[in-house]
Amino acid sequence: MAQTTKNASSVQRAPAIVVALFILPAFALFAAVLLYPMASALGYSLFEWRGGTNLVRFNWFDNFVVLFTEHPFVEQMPRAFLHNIAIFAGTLVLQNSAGLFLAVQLHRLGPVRRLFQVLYTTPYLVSPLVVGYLWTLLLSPTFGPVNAALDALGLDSLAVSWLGEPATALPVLILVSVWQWIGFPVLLYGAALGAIPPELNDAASVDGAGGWRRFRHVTLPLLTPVIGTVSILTFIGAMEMFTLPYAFGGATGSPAGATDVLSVLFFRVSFQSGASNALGVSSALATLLFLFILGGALLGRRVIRAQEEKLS
Amino acid sequence: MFMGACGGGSGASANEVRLTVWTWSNEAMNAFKKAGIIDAFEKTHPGIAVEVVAQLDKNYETLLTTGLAGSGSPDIVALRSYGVLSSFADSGNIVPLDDVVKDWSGFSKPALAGAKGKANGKFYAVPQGIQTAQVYYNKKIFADLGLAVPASWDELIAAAQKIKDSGVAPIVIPGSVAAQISLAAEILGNARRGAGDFEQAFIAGRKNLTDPDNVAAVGLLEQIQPYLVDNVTSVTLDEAVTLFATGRAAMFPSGAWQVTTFANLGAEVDYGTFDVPVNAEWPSKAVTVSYADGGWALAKRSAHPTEAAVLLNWLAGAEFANLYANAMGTIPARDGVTLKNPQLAEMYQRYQSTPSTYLGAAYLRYGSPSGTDLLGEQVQKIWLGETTPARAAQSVQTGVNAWFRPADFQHE
Repeated sequence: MAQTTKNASSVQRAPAIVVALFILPAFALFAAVLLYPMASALGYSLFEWRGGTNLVRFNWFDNFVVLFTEHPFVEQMPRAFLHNIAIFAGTLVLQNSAGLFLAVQLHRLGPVRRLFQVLYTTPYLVSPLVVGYLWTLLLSPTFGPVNAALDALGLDSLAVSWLGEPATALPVLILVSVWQWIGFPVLLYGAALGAIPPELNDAASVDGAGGWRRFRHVTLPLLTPVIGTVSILTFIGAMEMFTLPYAFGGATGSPAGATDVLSVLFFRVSFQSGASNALGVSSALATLLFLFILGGALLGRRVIRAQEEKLS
Repeated sequence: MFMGACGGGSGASANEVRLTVWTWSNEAMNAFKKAGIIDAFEKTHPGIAVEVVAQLDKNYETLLTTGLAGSGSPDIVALRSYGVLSSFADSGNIVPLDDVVKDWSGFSKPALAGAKGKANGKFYAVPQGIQTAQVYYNKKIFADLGLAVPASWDELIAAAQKIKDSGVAPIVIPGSVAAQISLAAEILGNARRGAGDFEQAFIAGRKNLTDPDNVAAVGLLEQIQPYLVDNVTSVTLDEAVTLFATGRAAMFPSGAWQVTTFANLGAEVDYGTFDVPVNAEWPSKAVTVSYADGGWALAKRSAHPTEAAVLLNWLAGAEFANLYANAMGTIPARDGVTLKNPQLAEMYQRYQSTPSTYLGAAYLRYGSPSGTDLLGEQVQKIWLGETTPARAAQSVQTGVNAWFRPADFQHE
């Protein structure tokens, strides 16, 4: 008996070291490529710099104060922030609704659904920069096929300057982003739908529930965790979105700042300005963005968890 | 970063010093290697070998920041002019050249202005080249309509009207790209603003961008709006080049580099260039808008500063300028050069007689926000009907007020 206890405890103790040893390489890598840059960005934001990397002095939160009090940030930061929020809201609605709709339709399709899953996921595999430039070409009012087709169909009143008008540039950006990433929620929802035991739906049918009520009261509640995951990932993706707005509007968010977002503002300040203290101010901006995304994601997680608990 | 240590190329002897030169441009590296520039230097300077390395364009400044700070630093580096150069001068990783380079007399004033550190007014680079900016026009379209090169702004507008009536877009500007809009605005408005006189008043702090002459200069962008290609705020640089090269737009205000672009396109377009003509009541005569286009700087951690200084002095001379400008298809930063390309030769000649500085590039790109980005955005707003020239000029001034101090530029 004593022998057994000893064995059991040594079995419990040994993995602790082994586990640590196994975790160490991954943690070291994580620390080197993620924790260290994050911590150093926070550090950089507390200093004043001259000419790239020449450290001048510790200046507490001056760089953050600049972001909230000085031109152009007082004007450009709220504008960019609102665009990020609009992208998040638009993407959230479209990706969850269209993604779920497509996933439900594919789920009913049977074996051919794999083909469509691959098709819907294909744009997801292309770099957003390439996607951006391709859509710029497609939507060009001068040379693009989209407006040429509209003209040919007699719909020339719809053939507007898609990326040249502030009123259409941001909605187009959102639609193209949804077009590119839709495959991801389709896959997630598809997997979640497959995991719902058919007995539940069968039981609801026996109780007299129709198609819509089965979906509304059986399927949808069971998808809540996945909807939560997709929403949080959408939030993170929308808040730190850079490549697609950059491909569409360049570093200034053309036209007239209509596609400017926080990451593009960061790029402009840190890499494109000849400002001497670019490192300090841009690090402050990056730190703010990180804190906001972290806070938003944690908050979202709580909301979703509360919903899940209500269900169980 | 270990390039400097490799050495051992063909013909390298034991006590030969090997200098490493960094540039962002593949074309520049090829010019050095294939157009006989390195050979010309090495022949007259035995004991010094030169290796030119082109670093990835997009990350060039980042690579330089680390490359210049560590061991194995390159000896000489190409740097973009004005703000970028000044920022590297601030970092202390490149050294002042006032006493290193013996003869600065051949260089033009605009070229030298781009090579100064803002903090102390010293030269930190040997100017590499100049970009001139002017209006390209399609000779065939002009001839078919019986139009001559306009002699005044009013004539230019009249010509534009005639071209428009014939069904061709009179003027193309890459209106989706802030920097390109700003350049076009400068080509059209520099003389209207008052050219060199305005520049002097501007850096003396006597005038700013809300001055009526500058507002009138921005207003020219509004005046030409009826003559621009359709949907101008969506036009990319590539589309603008294509529209002009295929004869779908008759005029294109742009930089000297388009000469190479048109040649590479193999386009059949028969074009000429002119500086924007002025009306009699304007404050200045017609000028050639120009800005410094890079320079050669000396790394503080160069292992061979003496030999690097020899090379820099040669890079500052007429022999190099002749070889480099002709191989690259650029306008040289100094006098005493004969350009073989007739278009460039014409621009070079006009530039030498009436140069005027591109105000935005020379003074408004040292901080955030950049004045040229702001102007590009404001001109888009004018075209979209969201603002007026007066409010646009005011907005750019408010933006650059965040960091622009005229006193920073008064070193002479």
